[in-house]
Amino acid sequence: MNGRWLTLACLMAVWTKLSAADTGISYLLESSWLNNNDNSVIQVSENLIPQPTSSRTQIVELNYNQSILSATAAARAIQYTGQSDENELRIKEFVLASSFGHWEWSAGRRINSFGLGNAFRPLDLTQQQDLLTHEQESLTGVNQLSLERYLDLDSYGVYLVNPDQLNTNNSRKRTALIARFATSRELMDWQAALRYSKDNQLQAGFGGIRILGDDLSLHSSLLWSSRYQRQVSELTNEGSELLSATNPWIQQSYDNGLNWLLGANWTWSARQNLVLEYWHNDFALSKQQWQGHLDLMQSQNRLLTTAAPIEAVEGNLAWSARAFANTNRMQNNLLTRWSYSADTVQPRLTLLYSPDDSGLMTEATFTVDRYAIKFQAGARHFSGPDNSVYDQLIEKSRLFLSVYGNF
Amino acid sequence: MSSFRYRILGCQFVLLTLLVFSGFTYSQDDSNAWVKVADDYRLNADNSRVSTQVTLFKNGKQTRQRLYTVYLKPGRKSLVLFESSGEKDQKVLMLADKFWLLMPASRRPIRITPMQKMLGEASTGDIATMSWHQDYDADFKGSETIDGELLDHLQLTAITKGVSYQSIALYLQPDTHKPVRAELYTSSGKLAKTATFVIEDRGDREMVTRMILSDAIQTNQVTEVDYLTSEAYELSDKYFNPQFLAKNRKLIIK
Repeated sequence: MNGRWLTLACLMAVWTKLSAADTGISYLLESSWLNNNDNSVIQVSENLIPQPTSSRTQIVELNYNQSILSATAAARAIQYTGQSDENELRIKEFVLASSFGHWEWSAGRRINSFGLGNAFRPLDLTQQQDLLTHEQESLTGVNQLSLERYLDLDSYGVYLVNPDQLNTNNSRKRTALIARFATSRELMDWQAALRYSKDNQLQAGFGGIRILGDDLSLHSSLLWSSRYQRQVSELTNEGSELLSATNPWIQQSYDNGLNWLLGANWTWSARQNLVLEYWHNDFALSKQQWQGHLDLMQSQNRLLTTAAPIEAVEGNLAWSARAFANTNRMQNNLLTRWSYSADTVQPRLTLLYSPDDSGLMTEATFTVDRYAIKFQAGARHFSGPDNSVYDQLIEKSRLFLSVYGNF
Repeated sequence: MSSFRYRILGCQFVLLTLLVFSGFTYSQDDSNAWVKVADDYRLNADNSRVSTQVTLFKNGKQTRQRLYTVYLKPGRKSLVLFESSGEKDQKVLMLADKFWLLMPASRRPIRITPMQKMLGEASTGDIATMSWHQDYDADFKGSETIDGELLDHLQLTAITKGVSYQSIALYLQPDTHKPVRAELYTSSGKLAKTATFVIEDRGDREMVTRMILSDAIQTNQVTEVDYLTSEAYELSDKYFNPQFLAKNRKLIIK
């Protein structure tokens, strides 16, 4: 393993611990063993789509907090079997913040999370997080200027985000202006937000959580977008060829998109908890688009046994497989998550069902919290009918073990 | 003569009745005032900062120790900062019967139900609730001898929503009203925990320095809550706004 970044991180950790500011260090070590899907239509050589059978990730994260400056830096080293290591040093947060009168301002890279939901948060308008990944790495913030006011239980905020970033798909600036209001009432927290950007034009969202008793709460979010984009493959258009000489993915714009989520959280004893969430995501490919795409991949796969140039077929299959990597994977989703909180152990079972094609993701984790360290073991498995997205993923199942400490 | 005798007897009866009832019954106001006195042994100022160490024992063996800083404000407001490795930067905000959980990895406040607040091995409510008089109505039930000590027994019934325990059988020392023992009952009427209190001199006054919680459901489990320091401290109102707390992973409180 290339340990240079980790050595550097450890030196930084010692320095920050010795300095006067409030500092913290966290360490994550995660090993995964992957079982790739032999039945997937994506059968290409490893140099086009790497299919490691195991990986090991180490992340050292340092955070530094002073009266007006907060910073988080992470050093990450990933080792895959049969591939070169990936090492990265990233500034996740670097924000100057202070107040004047009743107003709080901040400038710099900052992590924001506004939304409600365990698996999908339509109202995370500054940055979306993939909440379905098993990886536990924290978010990287986005550059922004913010002005906020807190009054009793109300909060008002205006945010200018990504002033310097371009959308690589259309070269438009990713800059967005967001206004947000949030409040808490006796049995309900609710929030409303408006966002304007060149890509999405106007977006308006509303969400809330309602406490229905000692053990039950309901939460919901709704986001309307006047414009939104999906990545679609030109090869799925009617009458298209099966192969392309150039990347067939293009960004297509649509009008009037709705993303919404409805959820419930039920704690029926002092130990057991159940989360149910159903959501619709218009940013994901529709059922028809997925069907067209799966048909295309099957047709491309059949070309492997014909006289068609194998490099061209495999290259196109690799392009087609990009659809699986989209964090907005399925439009309609139902999540059920049960957990039991014992003294030091927490078993958790998650089922993610796709009503569009009956695909299913099953995940079971077991967390042990001892000696200020969290140990987690888990397994994830994708299944479904032959023509379902989850059944066609390149990864069929995964075992993972992790150790996490925050000091 | 006989009417005089009856008059004397009548006076004796009235005097006896007055004596009996003035000496052995107390009004609800008295009981509530005693609870307030008992609370003063636990918390020395309405705006306070309390450093708390929680040690969990299972079968007599220490299994876990955690440190918390608790900020309290009048109106049943408390903010619990988790200080130990492993759960550093977690926060729980309790505003009357409203509760929020703030996790370091997630920059958003999570509104939780009273039942969710009880998840995990140490109830945040046990750490953050430092007074009874705002949440309970007290009723004097009589004097009882417990472990050879004569104590006043008060029955506390919740008058606010979202409290961890629906009723409490509170035992106080007569005259001083120092808290000695509290039996904590859930809304179903089941005994959840029994608390005993250790009172020691702290500077110029006597204070509760330790609360020992014996779990009535998991009888092999005992939690010791040590109040390491307690000082008058007024934290700015903005720290009791869940959105403000979510903004920063770490709170810089001078």
